[in-house]
Amino acid sequence: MVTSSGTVKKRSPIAQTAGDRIFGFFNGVFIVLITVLTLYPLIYVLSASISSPSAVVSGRMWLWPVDLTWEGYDRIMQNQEIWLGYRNTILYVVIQIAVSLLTTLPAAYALTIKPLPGRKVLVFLFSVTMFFSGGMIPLYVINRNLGLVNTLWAVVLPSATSMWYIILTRTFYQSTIPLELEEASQIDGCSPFGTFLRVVMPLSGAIIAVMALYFGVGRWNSYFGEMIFFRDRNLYSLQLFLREILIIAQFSEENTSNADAITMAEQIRISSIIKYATMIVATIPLIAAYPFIQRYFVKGVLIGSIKG
Amino acid sequence: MKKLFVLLLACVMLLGSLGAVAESKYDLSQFVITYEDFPLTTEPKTISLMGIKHPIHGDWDKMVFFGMMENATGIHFDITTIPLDGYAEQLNLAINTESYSEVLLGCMINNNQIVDWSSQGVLIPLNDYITEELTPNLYAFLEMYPEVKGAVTAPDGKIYALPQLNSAPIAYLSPWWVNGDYLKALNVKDEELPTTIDGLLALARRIRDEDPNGNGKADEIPISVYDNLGGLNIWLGAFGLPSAGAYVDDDGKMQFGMFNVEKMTAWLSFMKTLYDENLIPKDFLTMTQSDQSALGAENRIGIAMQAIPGNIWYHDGTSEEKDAFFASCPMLPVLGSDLSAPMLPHGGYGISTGTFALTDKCEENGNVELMMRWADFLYSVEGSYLIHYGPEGVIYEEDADGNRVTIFPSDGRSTEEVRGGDLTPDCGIPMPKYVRPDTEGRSTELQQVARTRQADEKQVPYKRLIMPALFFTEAETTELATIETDLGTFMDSVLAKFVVGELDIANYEAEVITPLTTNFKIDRMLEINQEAYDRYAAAI
Amino acid sequence: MTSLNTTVTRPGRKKSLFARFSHAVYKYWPYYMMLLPAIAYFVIFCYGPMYGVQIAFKDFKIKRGFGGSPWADPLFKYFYQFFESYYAWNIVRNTLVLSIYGLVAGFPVPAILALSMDEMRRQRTKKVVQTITYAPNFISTVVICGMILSFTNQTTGIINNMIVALGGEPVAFMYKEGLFPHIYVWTGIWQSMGWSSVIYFAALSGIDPQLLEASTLDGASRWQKILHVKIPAILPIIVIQLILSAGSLLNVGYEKVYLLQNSLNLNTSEVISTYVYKRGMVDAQYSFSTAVGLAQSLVSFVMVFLVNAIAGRLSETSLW
Repeated sequence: MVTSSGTVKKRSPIAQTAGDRIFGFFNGVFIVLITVLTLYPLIYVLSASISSPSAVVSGRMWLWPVDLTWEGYDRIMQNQEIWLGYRNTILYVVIQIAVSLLTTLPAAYALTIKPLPGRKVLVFLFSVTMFFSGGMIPLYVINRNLGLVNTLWAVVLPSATSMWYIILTRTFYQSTIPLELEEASQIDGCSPFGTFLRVVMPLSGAIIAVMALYFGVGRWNSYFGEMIFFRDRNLYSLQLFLREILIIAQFSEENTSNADAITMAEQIRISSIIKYATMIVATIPLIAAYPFIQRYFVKGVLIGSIKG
Repeated sequence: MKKLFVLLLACVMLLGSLGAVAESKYDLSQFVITYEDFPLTTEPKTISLMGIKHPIHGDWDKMVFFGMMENATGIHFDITTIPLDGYAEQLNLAINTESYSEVLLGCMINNNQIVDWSSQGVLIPLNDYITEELTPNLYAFLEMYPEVKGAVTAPDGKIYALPQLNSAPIAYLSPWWVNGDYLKALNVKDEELPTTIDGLLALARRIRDEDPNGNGKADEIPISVYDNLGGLNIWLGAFGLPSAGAYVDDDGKMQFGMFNVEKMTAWLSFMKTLYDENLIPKDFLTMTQSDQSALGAENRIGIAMQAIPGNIWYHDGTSEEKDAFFASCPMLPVLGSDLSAPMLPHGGYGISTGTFALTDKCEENGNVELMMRWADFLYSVEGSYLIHYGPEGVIYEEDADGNRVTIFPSDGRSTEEVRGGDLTPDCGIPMPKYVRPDTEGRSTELQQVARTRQADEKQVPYKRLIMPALFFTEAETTELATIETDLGTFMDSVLAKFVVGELDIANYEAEVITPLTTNFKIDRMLEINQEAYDRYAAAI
Repeated sequence: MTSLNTTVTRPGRKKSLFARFSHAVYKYWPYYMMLLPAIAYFVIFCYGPMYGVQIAFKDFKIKRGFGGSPWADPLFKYFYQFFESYYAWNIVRNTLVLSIYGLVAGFPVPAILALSMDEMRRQRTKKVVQTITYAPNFISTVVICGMILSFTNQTTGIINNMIVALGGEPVAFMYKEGLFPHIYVWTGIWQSMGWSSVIYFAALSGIDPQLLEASTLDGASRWQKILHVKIPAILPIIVIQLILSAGSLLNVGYEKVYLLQNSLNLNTSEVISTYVYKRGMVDAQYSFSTAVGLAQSLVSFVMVFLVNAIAGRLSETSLW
């Protein structure tokens, strides 16, 4: 053992065996293939949003933009309320992430404590909510009784957490944080809160990042609750404004009995690129945010904490 | 003179007292409604009103229509609007939580809701208020159009909601248009357009083969169809059948079209010819309207069905040049065949139901009579014009012949954006009104004029009603839902399979008649329809 | 002491239950405090509205509300209505085919993708590739379906253009009912694999580097390290997600199926959600859709219960 590990040590980590090289090669090929497969439709969507609609439909546009036009984006940007929507949505996302992490992370940790009395009952009762829900009207009544209607809490609080995410977080804690570490901190005189804050939290940057992403994206893409609970236009989120733009574009398709038939016909033409453009307007920030999440997927956090 | 004075005085008082009206960017004093029955009340009155707000709409309480009506009638509305997106849930919530208003204007209430809500006392019957004395316009309107009266009368014999009617034939007859440039290239004159199925096939083949768009490529789509069978079932009429589904025969009895083997197979063979010979796009089952308008913009479409040619083709140039081109695209005549004289089936009469209803709250406050008189104005000539186009001088003015001349907005918006944004809620949301037969045609747009003229000449003589709009009870609707959903699935898939050749038309009886009679309760469906039709016939 | 103990056993039992409870609270109160926000959430926003479930068994009268609406007659009226449909079993079968196929084919892909990317040496490239595969998740369903239809178009679609260029005949992909499940499932995998692998990136980052170093020293190849270190590290997450997915076997979303449906593929593409939607267009009924939803939930719940029991036997991972 000692000798073999000694020889390995000399060769590692830079030198690779032939098998590792072959593996690396095929792995590289796989990655390239996947990347091309995903990249193509992404470029297609981007190009479609700035190409003439007829070029897209007739297949003349298949990769790069053809007959460049900014009409789709023009139409969206004409709407001053888009910026209000961005502002509101970002605010809601931030608040949602804060509320959800405060609800989810401690609960998931408490549920890892095996001897906790009532743990199984709670997990069971929480899990039921993944499958059964009372529907919109009772939820509306509760929100109204709590005085939440027409405030951001009417959409943030009802999605404060979800059992699915609590279970994922719990599983992550269980599989990555060594029990000895927690026990050691308890022996050192740390309270459960202290253990959670000083031992568990610093080690779970990755899952916190993932949960923030899940809850944040959920809020970002949501529109149904916003549609029902917001009366005041100043509260509207980006998705609501974008849906309005799409409805107006479709309206031109249906609306025919009017004086100004010529203008309407023009709008039918661009309604399909508005579809692509709104999607991109709604998505770019989510993609831009991803690198910030990626930072937390770095190995070696654990080692530092053990030594420290 | 005295009346006018009172009216003006009321206007001034209201203008002074109401902030919402004063905020409007239009000077309402220049838009005055002079109407015999107005004002409805001498002391200002506030009534709550609920409506669906289309995204194109501005705030309802800043709309010129409501401002003018308030000045003229003395009724101020406390308005609650529900966004169009998700309105069904919102309406249910409003009813469930008792937060609905006295008046439901433009709430797109469907027949199920009318039956349901009226049985729970939310909607009140309006029959007693539809009289010659109280609501003369509405009364005369319903007398003139018994089919409208039949369509709005609930199974219990009462009327709970008022409709909109567009009585112009173009509102309910579907037209096929032919590319004017193609016809020039093929040297086909208007009077040489086909009037039979065979003639249509001949023209379509020429479009396919003779490169009428002159680009040297065989990329023409002779007949554009999208979204399943598109308008192709209109041509069932050419074979003498109004519909593949249920229809009323000349004796007032319900029939089921697919049972007619001779006519159905003739129609299917025609469609199969279109598909096999590439006269319709191969992807007709998955294409959408956007696809069609993109192909139209590339001048690749020969014949297509849309309300106006402008929605199919695209033409460079000024508005006038575009208009002239679209007006040069003729309407395809109604077709006949060896089996039948030309026939144009149509589904209804341009009726939108559920546009205006009053709730029990309105009754409690004693405002029913007042609101019925308010609504009655909308069925007058002036009222129907006002709620649709807004006052003269904003987006239109009348020329010496009484035709509308469009005034293009100076702020870069389209007329629709001004109409829905500032003038009236009757934009994207159906409102109570009666559009007279000649209203649509009173335009200076060549396309619009050509469309109404051709509808009268080429379509009206051959029109055939499939079935009037029927009003079912709750139990009937539930029973029909299961039968019709299954039937729709079966019909869609079996007909498409015949067209693309997955099934052989020679086996029609085995593939269609046998499953129809064994698997689906068609007899029951026809029976329910017959009962509803008999009620309808009794109501008119 | 011992004799006293035996005599008071029976009456003392209740007391000891209470004692156990107070002892639990005394000893574990910090953990209950941590659970408090979640408990409050589930009580108020999940169990609070739960009374709404009863409309599946009622003739719902909107104004009379949930309590005041009469019970349906027969009680399971709306469940029967679903099975009155001639296509009911066909619809259930299609739903199961799409979801089971989607689960079996789609489940391993994100994990494989995560493991594969984890093997990449260049950090910068790795991050870029991660972001690219993550992005399609945010393309809206309408746009995705529009793209699928345009790629498979018989005359202009890029796929058929390639087939023709290679000397083949164009294929009517969307008209073939046999192809529908494949198109549905694989485009779904394509769209969501990057997004679904995010959780595995997180799990992989939790691996103790000393463990990897040690196995390197032991002469383990990259492949062996994947098998013996990395897969075990993400296995609990995989198992848990698998258990939870068992609960969505009857829930195939309506939008994508509906947009890809046409008259020729209905035989394999009609699923529960599209059927409920189409029925709703004829007859907008609350109770019917709620009844179908409740039945789906019941099946889901039972499925998760069963799968969880099996998983508990086979591995150490379990829900409760």
